[in-house]
Parts: sequence; C-alpha cells; structure tokens
Amino acid sequence: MTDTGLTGNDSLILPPLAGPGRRATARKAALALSALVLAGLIGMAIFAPLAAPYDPMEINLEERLAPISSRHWLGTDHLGRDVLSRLIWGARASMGSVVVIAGLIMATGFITGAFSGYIGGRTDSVIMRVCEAFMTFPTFILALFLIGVLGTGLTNVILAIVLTHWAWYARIIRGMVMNLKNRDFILAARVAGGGPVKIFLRHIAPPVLAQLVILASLDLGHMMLHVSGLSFLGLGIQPPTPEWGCMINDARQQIWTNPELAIIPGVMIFLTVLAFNIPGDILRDKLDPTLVERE
Amino acid sequence: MSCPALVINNLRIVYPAGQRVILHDLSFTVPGGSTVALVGESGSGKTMAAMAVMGLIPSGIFQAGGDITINERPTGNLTPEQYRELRHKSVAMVMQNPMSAFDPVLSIFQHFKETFASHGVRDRKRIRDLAAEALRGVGFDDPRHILELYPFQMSGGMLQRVMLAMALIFSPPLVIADEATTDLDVISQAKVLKLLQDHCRSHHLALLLITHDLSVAAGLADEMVVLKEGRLVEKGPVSQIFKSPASPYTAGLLAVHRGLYTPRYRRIISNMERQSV
Repeated sequence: MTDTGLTGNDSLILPPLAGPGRRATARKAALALSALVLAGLIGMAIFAPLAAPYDPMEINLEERLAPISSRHWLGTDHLGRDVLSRLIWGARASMGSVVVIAGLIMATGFITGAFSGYIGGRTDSVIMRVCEAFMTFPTFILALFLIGVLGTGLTNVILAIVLTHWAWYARIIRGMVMNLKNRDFILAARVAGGGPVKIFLRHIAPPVLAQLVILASLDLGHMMLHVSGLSFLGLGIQPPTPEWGCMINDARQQIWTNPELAIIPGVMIFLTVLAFNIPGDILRDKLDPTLVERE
Repeated sequence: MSCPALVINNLRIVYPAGQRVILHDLSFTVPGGSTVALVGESGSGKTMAAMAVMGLIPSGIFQAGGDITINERPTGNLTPEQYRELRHKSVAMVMQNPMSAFDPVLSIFQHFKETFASHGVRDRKRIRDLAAEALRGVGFDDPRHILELYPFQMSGGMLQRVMLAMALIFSPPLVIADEATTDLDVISQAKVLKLLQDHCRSHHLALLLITHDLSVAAGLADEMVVLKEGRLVEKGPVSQIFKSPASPYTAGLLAVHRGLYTPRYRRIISNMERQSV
C-alpha cells in the first residue's frame, strides 16, 4: 500500500491502473507461480535422495566454507557439507513435520470442536474448559517442558505444537458448527426427516471442513516457523540431520563471513510459507461456491 | 371427507424459563384433503404449533400436555427415530424464509438428490428427470438450468417455488405451509398459493396453512383457526367467520384487513395479476 505513494483518497479519484481482467490475470499468475513453487518443494521433499547431488551429512573438512561453484552450486557449510543437498533434504524434514502437525491439529480440533458444538449443553462446557486450559500454554514453554521431560527430538516438537494449537482449532470449529446448526436449512433438513448424523455429515461437516482447510493452509507457514524456530534453538530436529531451522542455527558462527549460509535456508522458509498461503485461496474458491468472485 | 390428516387435542406448550405458556390447550383438526388456515399475529404461537406437529420443539420449550395424531397415528410415544420416519413419510413442510432454508453450498440438484435419496431413489438420471418435471410443475420454463444453480443465484420467489416443488414431490398426505408466501410480492404470492392449492386439490392432500394474512386464508382455506397469544379464539368454516365473526378479536382482525384491502387496492392487484398472466 505505502510503496505506491497513494493514499486511499487518491485511488478513488484516479482511474484504476489495471482493469478487472488484468487483475484476474495477475491473480492467476500468482496462483500458478505459487503452485509451481509448492510443487517444486514437494517434489524436492519426495525425491530428495535422487535430487541431492551429495550426501547431506557427508563431512569434508578440506572443502569447508567453499564458495558457490560448479561443484557446489550453493557452496558448502562450516563442515564442508554441500548446502544444496542439505537444503533438498531439509525440505523433507520441514515439510514432512508440517504435514504431520497440520494433520494432527486438524483431526483433533475438528473431532473435539465439532462434537462439542453439535452436542452442546454440559458436554460442550466441559470440553471448552479443557480447551481453554490448553490455550493458556505458549508453544515454546510447553515445548521446553516436554523436551525437558521427554528429551529432544522431532516427535516432541510435533507433540508440543499440536498440544498448543489444537484447542484454537477446536474453538473455531465449535463456533462454526454452532452457528450452522441453528440455521434454517438445518431445520429444513430435520423437517424432511434427516437424522442427526446424516445432517451433520451432509450439511455441517462440508462447509466446516472447507473453512478448516483454508484456516490450516494459512497456518501451515506459521507451523513451519515453529518447527524451524524450535530446531534453531536446538530443541527440535538435531544436527546433523538437515533441516532449515537447524541450518540457520549452524550458520550463526559464520553470519559475518558467510551470510549466505543463513540467508539461503531463510529464503527457503520464506518461500515455503508464502507458497503455502496460496492453496488456501484455490481451495476456498473450489469448496465454497458463494465466495467465488464475480468477474 | 376421509380420515383426518392431523388431529391436535389440548396441545399445551410451555416455556418454563420465561414462565410462559406458549400454547393454551389448542385443539383442532385438519380433515384429509382439506385446507385449514391457522391465523394469528406474530408471536401468537402459530409456528410453535407447526413445530410441535413436526416433533421439533426447540430446546428449553416443552410440551406439557395434549396429543397430536398424524394420519391416525398418535405421536405421543414415538421414539425420535420413529418420529423422524413419520415426518419423512407423512408430512412435508414449506418453511418461511426461502433464502435461508437452502444449504448455501449445495446446488438445487444436490438438494433434490438428498430428498430422493432419503426415499431410496439413487439413480441420478431418474432424479434429474423427476426433479425437472417437478420444477416445471411450479412454473419454471427451464428446469434443467435451475437444477444447476446455487441458492444464492436465485431470487426469493424462485427459491420458494423450488421449495414447494421439493415438498410436494412425494405428495405426502399432510402439507404444512408456514408463512410460505410472506416474503413474496403479491404476484409471486398469488402464483405460489395457486400452485399449492392446485397440487393439494389434485392429489387430495391436506394443507395446514399458517399465515397472518387473512386474504390468503380467505382465498385458499376451507376452515380457519384463529389464535391470539397462544389461545384459540375461534374456529370454523372460513365463509362463516368472514361473514359473522364470533369473537371481537376476529372481528378486529377482519376490520383491519378490510381497511388495508380497500376496493381500490384490490382493483389494482387484480389488474396487475391479469396483466402478468
């Protein structure tokens, strides 16, 4: 907004720079680009063993901190490991853990939230108090606690993130379900003789799931930052396993001499978070016909 | 004529939290194949009576007494499952608020599909044909196109007619229309009511018409039940009530009605209807 140098009033007076057609094209281009980036990242994660030119853990002290060259496209780190290979393998750890976390959060959040909202009454109150208890824990504190008790490792990081996030989802979903369940079309379905389970599956679950997927896709980036953040602090994925957050942590010593070692994984995190936000848009348009932009 | 489609006997509905009685011992009968209008102002308990018939009284409100018999089947000791079955087989309801009575994320075809599926019809092509036929019956010239639309792409009047088509498709013995035409302009209202009446007559269905509009009652109903604040004020044949209302409340309603529908107004409306038809 600010970089155009226009205030809100100016844009009202000036004729629009791009017509709706051009805007739609730009939107499509952005979507295509994000889809491409995401496909590339997922491909990297899946085909890491094939795509990586070197073993990401192979230490070669003779070639430590090598600059960008034809042998090492992105150079090597302080132990002489190939940065590109580590980046590719890192996609696996980062994206894999995010997918697991998102899946677990969505499943727990949806089941408890939908159950709570649909049943209502005392059950609902009890479940919501439990949710509130979980919502009071900050992610990093709970992660520190779990890791203190159970030891470091990816599993505990995933557990900590899921435990501190599911309650938010449960609450949001409960709200959506409660809102939907009092709508006229639910009454209409009941009038037509639909049973509670069938009505839930047919009229309540689909719109709620659609919103849930959008919500989660917007949150994927945030979860990824959590994983990387915890790994950066040395609580999550342990060196020498390649992971982007770990890589930034490893590069701390060389931040002044070889800043690219921290910047490159940082850019990867940035790109991934950005690219994750786009499928949410596509899904929203696909899943909710009332929200489609009228062009 | 034949057996009664709906018998309500001393129905009493209470709202304990508000210490209110919503319906005071209401009794009336809808004979099979006839049309009964349930008339009253907003808040007189008309919709609650309909919900009680459907067995869908909102939570916090209770039926404190009386019994309801649908199609000679007492509903008093039905399990929720049996009641659902009864609703499904014997009653159809046209709700008020057509704009919100459809699931916004399902197309009209999907709505029909669900209705058919609950009656055991799953063949898509057959559903499409039958649904198109039903939509044609409520005055859509291009029913196949309508089937592809989503509720938000249609007007209130169109949705009301779709709802009517959907409610009447299996011709249940009892149809309840709860302010079914309130949201519509007079011309659409006349059309929808005509459709409703024709269908119920030709299929010999009983119709319980819930309305606050006396002209609707006058136009369609055989009998009329007048409610005021949950109490039955008067019931009897429509012609008789219009000619000589027994209660001062009904007389008042009629006076207001006549005040609104002056001869000049009626002339304008009938001209408009003539031009549109």
